[in-house]
Amino acid sequence: MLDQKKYENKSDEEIVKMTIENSDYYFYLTKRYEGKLLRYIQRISGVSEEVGHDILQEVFLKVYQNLLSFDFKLKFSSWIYRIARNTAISYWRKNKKDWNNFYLEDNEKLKNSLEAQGNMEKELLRKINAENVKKIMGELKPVHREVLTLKFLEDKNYEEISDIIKKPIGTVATLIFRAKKDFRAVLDKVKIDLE
Amino acid sequence: MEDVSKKVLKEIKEKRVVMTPKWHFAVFKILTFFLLGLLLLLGVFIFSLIYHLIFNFELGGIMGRNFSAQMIIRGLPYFWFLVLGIAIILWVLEFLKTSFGYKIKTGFVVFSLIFITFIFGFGLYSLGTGEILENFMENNFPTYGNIVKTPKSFWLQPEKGLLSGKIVNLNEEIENLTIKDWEEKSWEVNYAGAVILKGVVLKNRKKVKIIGKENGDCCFEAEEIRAWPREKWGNSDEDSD
Repeated sequence: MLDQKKYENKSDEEIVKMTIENSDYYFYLTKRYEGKLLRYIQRISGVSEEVGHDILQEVFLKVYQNLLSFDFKLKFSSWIYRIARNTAISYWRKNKKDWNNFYLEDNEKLKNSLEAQGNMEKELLRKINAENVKKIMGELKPVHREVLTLKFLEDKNYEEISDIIKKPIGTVATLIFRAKKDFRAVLDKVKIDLE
Repeated sequence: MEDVSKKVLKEIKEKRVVMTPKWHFAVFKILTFFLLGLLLLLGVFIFSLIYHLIFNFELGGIMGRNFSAQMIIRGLPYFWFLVLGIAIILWVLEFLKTSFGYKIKTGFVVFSLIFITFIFGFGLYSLGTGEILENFMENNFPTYGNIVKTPKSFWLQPEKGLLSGKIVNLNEEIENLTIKDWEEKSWEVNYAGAVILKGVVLKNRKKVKIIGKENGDCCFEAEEIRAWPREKWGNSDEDSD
């Protein structure tokens, strides 16, 4: 098997070019995105790890088949996330499962990110535990849950989110604003339950 | 945790999965832009036709008459508004799917598209394209008149006080003229006391439109006579000698 460490410093775009010449190099690309995309798929579609793997496999095959359409003006990560998003959404629409999976370890990261933004009171955020975060995220509109996931859990900037969900940057900013407001509204409701 | 990467690589090799060739995407891109161009052109042509229909109605000119508001509302080319609306929606949806389209705000895209088709549509209308399309539709689609209120059908509503057709006989002494409408029906029109607008020549074979009142079967009392717009293409407003 090819040496993974040897290609660690290569950019995604360089590995794409290498893959076009020799499909074996595709392994490095998929290895790089395996973990991130699996978590992302589960976060936005709420599927189990097993189903997540199936979706991920489908995503990687689609990416490979469409590799020659990749526009190098775009970031590869945005492009692969876009394909993952579309595939996960298609699966979720076909199967219409309840959104009930959220990584518990994301709780701290999400809380810290929202706190750093200054939108939520520290006191309030400290009271919510992982289950509450899961409950709050479950009650958000899918589009709000999606942008919060991309911004605060996937650490994407506005331009990347715009390229992933194919909406103008201005719209992305508005969606994030509304998502935080939505989160706050549900958080206030949860606070009432906590009290 | 299963190694998805290894599974994928194995599947690519075993099932000989190939990358879709570049020309596929190039063809798709060309077809997309061709479709966008076609829809844009369709929008421009439809606008020119809508201008032709609405300006020929002289809608502003019949305000204040009986039933005028109703007639205007009924006379609008809703069919073409609908087709235009569908063309615009399709254009916007396809445009937003392109590699740069999604970066532009949808509202701006819609506004720009409507603005461009509005302006170019007017340009084509000035060249007579609206009239050509209108004639084409009337001549080739028998049911067209049932779907769209053409200028001829709009100006042939004697029960609502609108009449039009070609002058076949003129009696200036008693201020009476005979016209044959677009359905070949003859009407005796008394125009004593009617306002004859600028540009109207009361002469045999001239086409006119008349606002007034129906007075029994085949008789009409004119209040105003207007010239039928001179056609830029096709038939002139009178038969040639």
